[in-house]
Amino acid sequence: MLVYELFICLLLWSGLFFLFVGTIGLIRLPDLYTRMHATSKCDTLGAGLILVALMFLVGRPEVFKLLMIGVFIWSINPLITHVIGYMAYLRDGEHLPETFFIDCYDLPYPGKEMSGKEDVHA
Amino acid sequence: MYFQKKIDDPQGFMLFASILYFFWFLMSPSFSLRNIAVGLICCLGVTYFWSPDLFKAGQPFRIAPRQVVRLAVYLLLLAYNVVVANIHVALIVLSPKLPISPGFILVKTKLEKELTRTLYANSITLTPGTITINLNKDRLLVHALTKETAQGVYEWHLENRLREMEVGRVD
Amino acid sequence: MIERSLEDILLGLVLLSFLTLYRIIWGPHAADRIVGTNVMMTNVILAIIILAHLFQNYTYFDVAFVYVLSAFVGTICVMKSLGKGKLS
Repeated sequence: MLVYELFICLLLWSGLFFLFVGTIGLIRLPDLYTRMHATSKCDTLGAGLILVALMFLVGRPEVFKLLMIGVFIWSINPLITHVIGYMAYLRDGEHLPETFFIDCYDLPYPGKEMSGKEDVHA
Repeated sequence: MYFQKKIDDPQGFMLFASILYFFWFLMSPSFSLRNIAVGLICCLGVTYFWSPDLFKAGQPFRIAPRQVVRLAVYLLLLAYNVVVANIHVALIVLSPKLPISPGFILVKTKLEKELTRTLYANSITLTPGTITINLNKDRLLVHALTKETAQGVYEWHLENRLREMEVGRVD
Repeated sequence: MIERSLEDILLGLVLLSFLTLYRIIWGPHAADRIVGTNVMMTNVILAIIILAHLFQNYTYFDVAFVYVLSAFVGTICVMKSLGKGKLS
């Protein structure tokens, strides 16, 4: 029984750790896109771990509601990231000056430099 | 106008409505007569209302059992990759001098159906160092955190898994 | 032990929301503020669920479920009106 409790506490605290990493990344990283790297990945996994830990604790019919909330968070978080990134890109988003642009469409990896924003609208 | 006269794909219509009905009983687990009737009316009405968007011509809505098994295997592999990605991001964020060199990369995908393309774009967002900014037909605009991860998204092994789920073989 | 660490995690979620307020208030652009609000949304959902389990009142799971959907729709609306200038 002690092992079970330790396992659930491990899940809970690792979930809080990943949420903490996401928040620190949101504060420390320099521009919008890199901030979204931290929040999209770490928030999703942290919320998932805490939801899995609670799924062990609650009773039978409530597990499905938690499962649905987890599925929605895991599918909605990347979608929100996608929408924010695309809208910022359309408004000539505020990226770092040393950002590189590579076009790999129909080309081997090193590719050519991307010509500009008309690549997105095509 | 969203109400169309006839339904093009009756089999897909019944499949989608029964999936919604299953989730209805997961959400409200009581088997009174009122609950059953209201759920049936709601599921059929919602599926009928959205049928112009759900059932496009030439793309019938079918799910084979083999595809469900492959999707489950894919999701397990994805969960492992998500944990690896989070440790990667945590190492970058918590290190004192932020070793990042961000950039955009435009890649092409082999997938054909819209559903698998969306799944692929979402998986790219959840795995190491890359987020999808735009998805337009078969071109993906990806933002990468470092140059190595940009190289990694160009040849990524999970895309072959999705291709296998889509057509039943690898080419 | 589980009850105790659930309470501690509730406190941690509240503190993380206060840390997120830095980006929401002093964020250079509107998109940064939206990203911060999104992180706070996740924290609030988890707090609602943990409180529902501590109070043994599972009706609040439905509240959390509706909160996920409404936060999603709100973010989409704000980003559309920022990017295109209109909502359609």
